[in-house]
Amino acid sequence: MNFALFWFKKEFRRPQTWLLGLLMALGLSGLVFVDLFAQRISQTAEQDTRNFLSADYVVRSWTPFDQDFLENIRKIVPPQDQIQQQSLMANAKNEEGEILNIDLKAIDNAYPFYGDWILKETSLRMEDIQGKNEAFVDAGLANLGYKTGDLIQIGSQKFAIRDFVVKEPQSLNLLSIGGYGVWIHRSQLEATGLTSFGHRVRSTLYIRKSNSDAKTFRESFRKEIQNPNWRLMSAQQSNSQTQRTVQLLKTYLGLIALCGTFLGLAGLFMIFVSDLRRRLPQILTLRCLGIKDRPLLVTLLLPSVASVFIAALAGFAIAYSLEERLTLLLAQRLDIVLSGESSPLRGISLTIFLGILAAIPGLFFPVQKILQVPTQRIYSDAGGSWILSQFLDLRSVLSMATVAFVLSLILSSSLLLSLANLAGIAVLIGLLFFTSKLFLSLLPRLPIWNDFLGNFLKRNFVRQRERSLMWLLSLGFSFFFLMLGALLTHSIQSQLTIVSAEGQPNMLIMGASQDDSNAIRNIVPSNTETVPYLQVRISEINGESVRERILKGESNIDEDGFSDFRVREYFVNVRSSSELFTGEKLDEGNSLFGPKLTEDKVRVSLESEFAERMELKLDDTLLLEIAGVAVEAQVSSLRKVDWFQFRPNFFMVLDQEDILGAPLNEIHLMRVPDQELGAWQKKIIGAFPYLSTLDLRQTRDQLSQVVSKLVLSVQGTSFFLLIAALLVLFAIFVARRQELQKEFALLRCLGERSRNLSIYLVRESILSASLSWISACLLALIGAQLICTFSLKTQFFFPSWEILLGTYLLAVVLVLVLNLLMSRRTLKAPPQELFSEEL
Amino acid sequence: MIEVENLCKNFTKPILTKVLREISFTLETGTWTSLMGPSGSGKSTLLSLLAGLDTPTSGSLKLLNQEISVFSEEEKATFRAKNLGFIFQNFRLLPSLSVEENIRVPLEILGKVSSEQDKWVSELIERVGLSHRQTHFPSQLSGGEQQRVAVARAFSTKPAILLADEPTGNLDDENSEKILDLLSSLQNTFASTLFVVSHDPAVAERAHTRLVLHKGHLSQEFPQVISK
Repeated sequence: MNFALFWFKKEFRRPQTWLLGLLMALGLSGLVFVDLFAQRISQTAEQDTRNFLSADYVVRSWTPFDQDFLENIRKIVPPQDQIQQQSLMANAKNEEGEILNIDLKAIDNAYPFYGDWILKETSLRMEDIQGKNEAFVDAGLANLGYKTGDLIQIGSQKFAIRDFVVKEPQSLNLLSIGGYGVWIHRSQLEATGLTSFGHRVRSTLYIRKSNSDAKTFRESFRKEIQNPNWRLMSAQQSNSQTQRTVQLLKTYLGLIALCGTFLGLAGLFMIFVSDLRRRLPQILTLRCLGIKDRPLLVTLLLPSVASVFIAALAGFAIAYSLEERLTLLLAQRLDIVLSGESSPLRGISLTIFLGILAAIPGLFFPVQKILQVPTQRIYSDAGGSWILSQFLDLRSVLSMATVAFVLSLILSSSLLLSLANLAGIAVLIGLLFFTSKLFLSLLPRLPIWNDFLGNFLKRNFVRQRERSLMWLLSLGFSFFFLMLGALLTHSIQSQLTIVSAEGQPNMLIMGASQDDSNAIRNIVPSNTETVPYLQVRISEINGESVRERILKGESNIDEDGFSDFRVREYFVNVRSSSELFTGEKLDEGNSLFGPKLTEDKVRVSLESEFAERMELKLDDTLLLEIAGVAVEAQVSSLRKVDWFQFRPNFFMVLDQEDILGAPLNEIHLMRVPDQELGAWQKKIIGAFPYLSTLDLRQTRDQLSQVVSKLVLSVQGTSFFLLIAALLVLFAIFVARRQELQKEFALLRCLGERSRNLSIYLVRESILSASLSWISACLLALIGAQLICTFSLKTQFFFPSWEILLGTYLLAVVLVLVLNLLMSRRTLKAPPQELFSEEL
Repeated sequence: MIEVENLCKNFTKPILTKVLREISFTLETGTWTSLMGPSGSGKSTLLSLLAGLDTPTSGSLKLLNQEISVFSEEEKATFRAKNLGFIFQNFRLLPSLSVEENIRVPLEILGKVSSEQDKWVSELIERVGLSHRQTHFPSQLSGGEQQRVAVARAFSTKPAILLADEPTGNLDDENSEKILDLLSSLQNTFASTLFVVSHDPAVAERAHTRLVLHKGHLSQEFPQVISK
């Protein structure tokens, strides 16, 4: 042990040890930071769902709550823990007569329970405007120049702005559509006269959970909430779009962290190989001096394990100390404020695990194997291929795989994801190995570079097979993750891209009956698109009553024990042809509606995820209530809908041919010059005061802001992958440098010029980068498709040729630059100096 | 012709070490000179300076009437390719090339690729007694065989000057003799100027003359101009 300590101290004084340690620390700090960040995002999203609802439970209905229901609820929820709200989309007018789209909420005192908004004058409460014609309005109106005291007309009543509602700072506020929020006291709603205009008024009951046992509370609450007109949400549920987007981001971050882990392990592996190769002469000397194997093992392992461990601790310290600063920076750039706290214990566990357990299996078995070999065998090896083959020991590979798996579990907390990733990595390495071997066998037949150095290059590749395979495998591995990051980023960005403003509708009119629509068409521009729809409720699914299932407690149960979606009323699109809208894709079925069915049966196309939630498949039957009439429907097709397309999308679509005579409403989508939009809204509202109009520019701007934040996040995490891949590439080149130096020094000795050797390097870079990129690209395309489909549950967008060419050129330039940089000294210094360095 | 005048070489790291101190000598064409001296006397350093593998601290170094001490690295490489052959103590064969391919390397560098050259290479292989091993790789050869390949490689371009650094240093007596015989035979054939660094007395005996290096100085016991 004394000798081991002596050796350890000597090794630790070497600058190379510190340089490698620094690189590892930086790499690991990035990895730990992504994990810390992902944890915070996750906690923030959970916190946000609670804030978003402002209560623990919410009951929503398009019909008023009857008194019996309210009294029953009072038995289980004290009055101070309930709030009623009535809300509707409406138009308001300011003093200049300009129209504003508003989301009017008429609400009781005590709102909100959990504060999804804060007033600028923080002492104000809802009861301060009870009985008054005053309103709290969205802070966005302040940005438009509105001030407290300004008057806005809602229906037939004028309200003075009392204060502005600002965003709750700890909220991950991703989406808010539908116009500016306006809060008035519920007692003032009748005065507006809006409810008598035929506006659809939504009733909402906010419930704060009582102190009773959670399970008892849920059961008794559930017994009361059986009315099929109502929709239930709990604090674990949220706006599905928001959840979907947050889930997408979390999954993406998790994947990036995992990919970074594997890259990091690959980098560590390369460092171990190069380190051990460098120490082979030392091993020989020590063995010749008579040191036994066990102390020699400890002597060899101790510096490497210690350096990894110290690097990991340093990496964690860097990440943790910078976490607050970096998340603040991100908040400023992304306008996302993170709540929650990351766990130091988790970070330290990760670090210790990486530090000790990653190093030991990676090194222990190969070193043990090397020590079992007679000393002379090590002497006679050029130090090249043979040592690499020791690292391909099955025990070493299995142990590194186990480490990677456990690391995945710590980072992702998902057994399935970890197993899938491990299997994916194994398949990846296997396929890269296979394609590399294939390329090597085809290389001699390459009809280019038939001069001396060209032939020397090809021979080097083919004859030093293990070294070449390792080289191509390592490059391919790094490029795979680069490509994967680029492809996933491209797919997600394409998914999230909002259709450009030019040519897209900027105003929407909703709720028009067919008679109104005929009149509207005389007013609006001729290019206005009309989308007919019906309101439909589902009574039966495959012969079973929806209500009966709920009463029996057998319907789809969410994690909080409630069902909601089956009892809802849906807007169903009615189409006159089988043509799909932009953003729709047929998932099952030969066409949207298929052949006509019997006279009394209609065909309905369902959105795929909606069908999955409803447990419906192709050819299943539904009993629909359309305007009080029971209509039997059969599922004719399943569609995939791109919900991020900027247009009305529907869960269900009916064939117009099947429901001739049914009372339809219509959505009108208009495109008018932006400066005329206000005038058009005034004209439409003037003619049809009971209709809702929506300024889509505002909605689009809000969505654009959200999307740009998400895109920035995605780009940032892909950048992390790029850095991780670069670090691994750097480690690979460090490992190769010594071999290259020997050969080049000798060739220069024999009279070869440095200029020609530079050309050799250029050719080698192009060849190895091209071969590795091709395999990496093919595998990354497959991998990205699988990840998008099964993990992120989004559509995979095939990259354009510009992206493919761009990544190829990046790969070649990276390898070339690194090659030339690492070989600068080898090409410039006198050969004797290079020979001396070998000692 | 090799002319060395007041040649000095110092190493500065880790401490200042004056390895060669104002060395001067002249060698005529076609001579075999042996350089001897104790360990650390500067023999290999002098050899690497002569080959242009290192740069002298000061002094003049003329090979074939060309002052190579002022050449750039590229010019030195070109000069080596055209005029020098080099034999290393530890062979330094390219591991991915066969015996035949290793011997061809200097010719390929010079761009000499023709059927005549093929014939010449085959002749060389036969001359060094490795016809039965020409497709083998260095890792498949013994030390003596590897050194024979190195000798063949050094003579492949029929160089005017051949420099050898301890060519028998890693070989047993029998193989050493074979190598020396080879060197002698080839040197006679091509009239190359041979400069061999070695502490082996057997090498010194073969040489026309001996130089002795001691603590960076050439011994004054021997004449400063060496001729055949």
